[in-house]
Order: sequence, then structure tokens, then C-alpha cells
Amino acid sequence: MLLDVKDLHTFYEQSHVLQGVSLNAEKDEIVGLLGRNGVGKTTFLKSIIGFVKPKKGTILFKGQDITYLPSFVKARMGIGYVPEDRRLFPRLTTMENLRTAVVASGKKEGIDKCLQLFPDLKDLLDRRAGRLSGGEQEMLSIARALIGNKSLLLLDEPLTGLAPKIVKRLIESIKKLKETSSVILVEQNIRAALRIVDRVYVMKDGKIIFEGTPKQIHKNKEVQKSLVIER
Amino acid sequence: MDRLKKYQTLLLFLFFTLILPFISISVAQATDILLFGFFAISFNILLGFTGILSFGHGLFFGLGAYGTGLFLKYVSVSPLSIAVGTILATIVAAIVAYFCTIRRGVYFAMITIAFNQLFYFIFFTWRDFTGGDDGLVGIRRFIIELPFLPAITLQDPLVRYYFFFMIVGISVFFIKRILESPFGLILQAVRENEERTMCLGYNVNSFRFASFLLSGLFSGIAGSLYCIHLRFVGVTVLHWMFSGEVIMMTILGGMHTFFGPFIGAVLFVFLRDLLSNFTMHWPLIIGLLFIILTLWLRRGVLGRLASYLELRGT
Repeated sequence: MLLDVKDLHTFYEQSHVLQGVSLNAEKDEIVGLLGRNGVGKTTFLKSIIGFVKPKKGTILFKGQDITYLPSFVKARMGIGYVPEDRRLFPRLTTMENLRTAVVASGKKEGIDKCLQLFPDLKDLLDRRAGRLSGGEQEMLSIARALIGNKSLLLLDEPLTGLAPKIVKRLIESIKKLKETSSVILVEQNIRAALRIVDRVYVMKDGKIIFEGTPKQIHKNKEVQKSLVIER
Repeated sequence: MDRLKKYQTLLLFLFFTLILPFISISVAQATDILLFGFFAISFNILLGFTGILSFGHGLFFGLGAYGTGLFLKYVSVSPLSIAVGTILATIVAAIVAYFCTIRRGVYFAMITIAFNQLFYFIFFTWRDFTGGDDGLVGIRRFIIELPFLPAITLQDPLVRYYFFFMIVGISVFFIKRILESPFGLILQAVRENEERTMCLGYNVNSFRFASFLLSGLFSGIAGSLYCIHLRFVGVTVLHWMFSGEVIMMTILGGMHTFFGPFIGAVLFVFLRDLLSNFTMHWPLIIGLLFIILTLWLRRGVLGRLASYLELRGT
């Protein structure tokens, strides 16, 4: 098992955000983590990458306990994180944004692989990242996270707020990510997410209420209600 | 040809500073511009390139000056004094960096001011050694003896200026190379977004420490040369207000450009010398001008010019 999270409890001050969340991901698998706003999905990803320290529980990555390791150490171990606000380096160009990841990984060929996956970025290499469109920024954010052979990618709402045409292209790119990395995908765009993922977890009020396949969700009315899936 | 293009701004800077004594009011003014400009470029490693605002950077300039001055006065009249001043500034920069680079925001700023004022009061009260508020006087300039060449004294202002020009030129070249290297790219990434930089696998605190150290080292060299220029060190160089002046120069010139701080220093020294002929309240006028220019030219003089050229596709 690539990632094994057991009984995670995370607090923001007195607020008990994650209440015993357990989740696992196998190699070359896309796992969805779905739920309404405020249920703790982003907090879960932040707990894995180390921006928020859990109070209880364990996070095992490739069999190693990484629960309380610093973020930069986890990144070096092979965990990539793409936050929901993308957080590019706005004053650096597209190429410079990609080069920052190359310096860390020492793998110059990573940029070429990313440009094959996101060919739209080839014409934008000299443009400052802050001047890219939303879809272009998302592509750059994912591309940068990929450099350095990440075995696990944490994607936080990569499709939110983008035009349908861009969403379609990103969905294809995310599906291709499976060839090299496992992905934990947090999304509010439920329909799009269910088209991509192999397995899915659903959260409500800081807890996991469902674990299964996209097909099983379509048969479960209670879970659909909590996700507000429209027919 | 490509290499020449890569270094064109550096060559322009060197040419400008080469002719500066002949286009300034006096060689003394040119020397002030050169050394304060160098100090501002050094400070900008931290502010413009790493995104860290220190309110106590005058400390390292001052320690460079005092280290050199005390060595020249009490130990030996030798070029080694520059190394002594620089090393003193660098060691203290490492200590300050250790305590403050793990902090952020207002806590970081308060620690830098606190260290600055700590040393100010030490040098202010230690009159027997440092001269206190009378300043350190009686500093002699060394003679440069090179094999097969006549000895070079630094008494002549123009000779002294070009001696400083040589050291500043080499230092600025190194600073530029460092900031254009992969290390410099990561400093900029830290400036843009620390969390994201950590996600890429960088220990951000280590980079903040290294940036602080480099900035302190080069600020120390600037201070050391300033001591040799004046043959005097006033305790005001250790006051936090002097730290404020280098912030003003840097922001005025453009903190997101490499040579912007130098332009800021040119403007500052020029205005200071011009206005002080008419009024003793020149700091008030410079302060007002700074407010107006900051509101009007938010990216600084050179920053605004760079944006304009970028928009035009140049």
C-alpha cells in the first residue's frame, strides 16, 4: 500500500475538524475524496503534506511513518501537493516556476515530460505565472508538482472555477497521471471527479461515511444526498 | 554576443560608477553614492529577492565600519582591516539570523530592531573603546603595497574612489551571479510563496538563513569601506534610523530589480546634498518626497521603467 492513513484527528484550535479519518491509496490509483464545503477535505490533504499537524493518528507512506515529518522532507520522499489556490510564484515566469522544481529534484528531463503532458504551456514559457489564465495556472501547478517523480500527488480541487473546455482537457491529463503517480483527488465537481477516480471516499462532518467505487455511489441514495448529486 | 547581452546591465552599472566622480558634485559625493548604493544592493538580497524586511540592517553596515575602524586604530594599519570588519559583521549576521529567521512578520522585524538597538547602546556607552557618541576617530588609512608596483596611498579621494570601485565591482558581480543561480531562483520562490516552496522539497528556513547571512556579509564590506572613506565612524550608523534610510533607498529605486536600490541611493544622496544646502530640515522633505514617490511609483523608479519596457515587449 502506497499511502495508509489511520484514524487521523486534526484540530484547528478547539475545532475538531478531522474525526478519525482513515484512507488508503494503492500504487497507480486515483482515489477521490469528496464531500461538501467545510467537511475537512482540504484539512486532510494539509495534514498529509504537513501544513497542519494531526493530534492523533498515523500516516504511513511506503510503509514509513511520516505523520510528523516536515513538509519539505515529505516532498523529497515523493509526495506532491497542488493546493486549491494553485499558489504559483506569480512574479516568476512559467519556465522559472518549472525550474524551481527541477532544482529540487535535479531532473532536468522532468520539464520535457511535463510539457508533453501539458503542451499548452510550451507557448507560455516566458510569461509571468501571475498573468496566466486560471486553466493555464492549474496546468502549470500540476506540471510543477509532477517534476521529480512524485509517487503520490495530492490535488485539491483542480477543476473548480474553470471553463468546461479546460475541465475536459484537465480530466484527460489527470487520467494520464496514473501512469506515473497515484493521486488523491479532492473535488467539488462531483460528476467530473467520478469520471476520473478508481475509488472514492465521501466525507461528512469530519468523518468518512462511504468508501467504494463510483458505480456504488450511483446506487447509494444517502451518499448522493450528502453530495447533492443532481440527476 | 549572448554573454555580453547577459551582462549588459552589469557593464552599464560599471561604466556609470566608473565615470561617477566626473558627473557628481564632488568625489566625496560619488563615494557616498557608490558605498550606499552597494549597501542597498546588499540589503536587497534579503528584501527584494527573499521577501524579508529587516529593520535592523544598519547593524551589519555599522559593525563592518567599527570592526575595520577599531582594527586600524588599535591593532594594525593594514588592508586586513577590511576582512576583520566583514568577518565581524558576518558572524553577528549569523547569530541574528539564527534567532530571527524562524520567525515571521512583525516578530521577525522586532528581533532585527532589538539586535540593532542592543549593539547601538553597547557602542554608545563603551566610550573608552568606541568613542561613544563622539564617534571613533583617529583612524588611519593603510597603504597598498603590491609586488613590482609603486605603493598606493588612499589619501587622494579619486584613488580611494577607484579602490572602492574595484571592491564594489567585484562584490556586485558575485551578488549578481549568486542571485541568478538556482540558489537565487529558490530565494525568489521563498519570497513568492513559502509553503509552496516547502512542497517542492526546500527547507525554507535554511534559505532564509543563507540569504540573511549573505546580505549581512556584503553590508559589512560596504560599512568597512565607508570607515576608510571617512576615517571616522559615527554611532548613528548603528541606530535604527540609519536602517530606515537603506529601506527607503531600496524601495525608492525598485526592490524587485537588481540595480533599483542603487538608483535609489543615487536619488537619496543627491537630494540629501542638494536640500541640505537650503535647510537643516532636509530629512523631512526627503521623507515627504519618499511618500509621494512611493504612492506614485509603487515599483520604484527602475521597477516602473522595467514594467514599462516589459509591456512594450522590450
